[in-house]
Amino acid sequence: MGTNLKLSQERKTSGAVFLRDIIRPLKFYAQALSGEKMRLSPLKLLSQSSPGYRSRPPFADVEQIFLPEVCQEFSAPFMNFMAFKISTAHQIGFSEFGTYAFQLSSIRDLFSPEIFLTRLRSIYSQRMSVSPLEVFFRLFPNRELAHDLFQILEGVRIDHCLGRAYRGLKKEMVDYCQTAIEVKLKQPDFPRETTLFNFMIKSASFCQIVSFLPRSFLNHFTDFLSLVSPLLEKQATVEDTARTTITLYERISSKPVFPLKTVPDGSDFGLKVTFTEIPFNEKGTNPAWPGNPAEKESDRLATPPLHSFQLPLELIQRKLTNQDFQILLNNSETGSPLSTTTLGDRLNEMEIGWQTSSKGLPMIPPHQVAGGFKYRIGPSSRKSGTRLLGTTKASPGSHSSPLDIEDENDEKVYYYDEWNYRAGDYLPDWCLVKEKSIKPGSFDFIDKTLESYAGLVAEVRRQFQWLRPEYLKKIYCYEKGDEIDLNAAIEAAIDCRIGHPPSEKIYVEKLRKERNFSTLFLLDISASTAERADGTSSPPPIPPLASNDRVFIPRFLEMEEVTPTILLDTTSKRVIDVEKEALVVMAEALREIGDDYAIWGFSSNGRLDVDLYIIKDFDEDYNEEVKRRIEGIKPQHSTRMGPALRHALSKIAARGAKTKTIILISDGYPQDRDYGEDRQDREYGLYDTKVALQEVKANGIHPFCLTVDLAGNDYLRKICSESEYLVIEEATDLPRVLPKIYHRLTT
Amino acid sequence: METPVEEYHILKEPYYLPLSDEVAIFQSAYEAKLPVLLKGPTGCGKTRFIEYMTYRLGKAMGIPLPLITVACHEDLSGSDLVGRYLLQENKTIWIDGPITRAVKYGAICYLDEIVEARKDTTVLIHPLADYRRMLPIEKKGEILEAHENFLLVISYNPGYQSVLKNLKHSTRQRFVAIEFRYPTRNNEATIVAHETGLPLDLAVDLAILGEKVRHLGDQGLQEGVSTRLLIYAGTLIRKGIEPRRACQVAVANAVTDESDLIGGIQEVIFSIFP
Repeated sequence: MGTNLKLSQERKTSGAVFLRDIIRPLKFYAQALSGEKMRLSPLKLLSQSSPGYRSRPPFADVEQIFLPEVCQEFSAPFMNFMAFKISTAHQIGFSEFGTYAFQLSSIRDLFSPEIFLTRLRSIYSQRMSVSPLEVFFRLFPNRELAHDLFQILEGVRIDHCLGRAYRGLKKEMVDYCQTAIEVKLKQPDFPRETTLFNFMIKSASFCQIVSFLPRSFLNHFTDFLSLVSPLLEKQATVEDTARTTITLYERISSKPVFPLKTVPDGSDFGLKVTFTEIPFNEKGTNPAWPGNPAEKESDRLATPPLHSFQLPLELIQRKLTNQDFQILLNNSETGSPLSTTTLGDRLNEMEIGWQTSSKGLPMIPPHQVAGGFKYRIGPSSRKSGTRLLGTTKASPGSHSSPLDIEDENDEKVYYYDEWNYRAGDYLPDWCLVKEKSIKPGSFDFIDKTLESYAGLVAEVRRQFQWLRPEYLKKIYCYEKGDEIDLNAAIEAAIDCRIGHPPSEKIYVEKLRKERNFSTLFLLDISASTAERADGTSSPPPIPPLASNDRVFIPRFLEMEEVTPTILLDTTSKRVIDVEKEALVVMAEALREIGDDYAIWGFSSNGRLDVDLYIIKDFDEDYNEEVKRRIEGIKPQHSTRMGPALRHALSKIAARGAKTKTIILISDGYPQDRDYGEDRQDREYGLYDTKVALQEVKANGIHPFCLTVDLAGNDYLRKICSESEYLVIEEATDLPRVLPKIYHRLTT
Repeated sequence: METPVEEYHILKEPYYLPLSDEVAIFQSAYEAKLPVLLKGPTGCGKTRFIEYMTYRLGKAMGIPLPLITVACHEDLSGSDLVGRYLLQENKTIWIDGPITRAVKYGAICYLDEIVEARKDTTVLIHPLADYRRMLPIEKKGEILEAHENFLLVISYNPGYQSVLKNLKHSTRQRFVAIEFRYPTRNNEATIVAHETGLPLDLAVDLAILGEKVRHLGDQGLQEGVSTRLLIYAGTLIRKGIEPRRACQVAVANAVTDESDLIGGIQEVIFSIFP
């Protein structure tokens, strides 16, 4: 068997394989094969998010693969596992071998320009979110027929690509297909039409078994083979599949003997199977059908078995942007030059001073470009100055300047600059940061978390115990100790002989080597952390209790203001819940080694409303008060990372530890309602965060960014180096990963 | 057979497949007496490269050029590198350490995994690694000027990112740095085929396996699978072990202990090897 499946005894007996049991090794397999972080999700999530799924499937990212929750088509668990594995490889094949690289421009020549432009304008005008493939299907009068043909043809091409690339997988697919079709044929209720059509389609695959095909089918079969065989070649591309689709569509749609219809298949592994009504003989039966003896040996034909692991391709392809449509429609990339007046207006909006040259062109003086640079990435020193709410008490060289005046809630407020990447300069005293306290929770979150993660907490405690100073190495050349340091003793004896005064440090001592770390955990508690940790957009409905169900309903569920997050299944947890759990596990680990640490949360609602929540400060113990504050963490507003980092820097820089770290935990990119001139401008927040991180590093502090945002790679690589961030694919892994990261950073 | 360290010569040309311009850069650095830092993941060929260059440079000069290698560790002291007095019968004699021997006899001194050594030990090499090219021996009250054939080479694995174990700038900025990565598929297949004697198609399969497992870098396999491990797997295959089993023991079980990750890697192995 190809894997170490951990199955319950009951499942082993039934042969069924559940996705939940194998999802992690399959996920690693998918990522290794594709080189991309692939999420494997149950199909039910797809159908939940789109009630009309079967008739009009929704779109999804290319990073997701949907699989059934269980496969029990075979009695042997190994075969059911192979179903999952081959399906996964097949889906990855679409990514690896260029299906999603499909360009509409490559097949434009096969359609009349009028039809192409008309259809394209129609789609664009409806502002639909579509992928290039979806647009391609909509070019056909019968889009579902085109879709089905394309999917089957492309599946054949992908199968052959996989077979060429992975010899082991090819053998597995052959063996699997052979067994699968034998099983299918024995099923009395298996739709014969499906089998025969798939036999025809899959004849191009490398699965060769002897089966039966009606002679009347042979002409079409041969014709079809001649169309498909170019797709089996190494150089075949998705565009070739598209072209073959068009050709086959024309042939099939003109032959009334082959009306094609699409119906949902009963099995989750064949979500949308297209079949044809096979012409039978006069009696309405097929004499060469399995179960009926073949009339002649020549009626038998080698045909391939079923391979029905396919999903609608348009689900997992990127969508066309407005710009893509424009390019297609205009068929060129020429733009129109700005008039001098328009350019001048733009520069005025950006508050960049300009003059008109002798030729009437806008000129920007160099000093405007330089912006009177206050660019500083070195150790920061606050300047004193007049603030909106009073004067500061800033001392030269200090990193923060609390105001004399506290706001009406007696909260300390601070001003910080913000980097404006367009101007290439800081905006002085742009952000107002307030330190706030967290309202303690009223819910035994900590105990429930420790119970849920009992195994992990025990393991983490054990690992961190080894970091405890009393377990660290011996100190040699010490003045006293239980053992003699032989090297030092010899050197001392030699020094005696040569007349030098010998050293007294000739002993080995097991000393407590102090760990000298300070870490600030900076937690994003923006509104987006209220989203589900599994990525679904709405909470799954809590199923109604059956009359004979016995379910323990905790007392707290009766309290209106409390959201029970622990006792529901994993998929109902929010990101904030997972972050809180991770903090609890981390705190247990840190309790073992006694490192200096603080936990802050941050959120913002505009530049003048950046809140820093002190959950645990550096000099506080991890006591009941702190635990209740962790319980009380709730999602707030937006994510203005720059000022949060700068305030964190000002606090941790004052700690005396030799090594200081800021670990930023977030679930998305930096954004706020006025984080940049244009709220859609993501670059502004990213650049400010990048500069803030540089300021942190320039002050000798090590930053590390941990995110559960799957798109994190896209922007984190812009703002910090690869070794300074980690994207966690499954948010629920955060409690497991955070201690590992800390362990790695501090040993 | 025991050989004095300064007499350890590379007698036969080691196999090394250049992947970029590292040979030319090292040669130029040697001629200009610039110390070199080799950085890259484990098992990517840094040590083989230095052996190859030592042989090549010696051959070009017409003399056997010794290579002295020191595996650095946390307990490495200055005396271990420079030397110490020892008692022998009724005498006290000075024994040169490996660095001192390299400096005296004109060898290439290779300090492997320099970040593992304590920083107070590492700074000892500073006078050798700048324009001075001299080694102070405080115990003897001497200053040793480096032989003209001497070169200091250190290696370092930047993939292990701990805030403690990093190279100080005062050290790293004394060296020319050559970066090593795992080879591309074709190059790695060539290397594996040569080292193991396997047919090229099998070596390509091993290279594909390496490439795929390295995609799991963010799952705890920061270093991926090294070329060395692929060679081990190939060696087992050549000895008659079935390819899937050879890759299980030499790759999957070697790079991780996590069962799900082993499971995933095994499925990749089974996909590549029939």
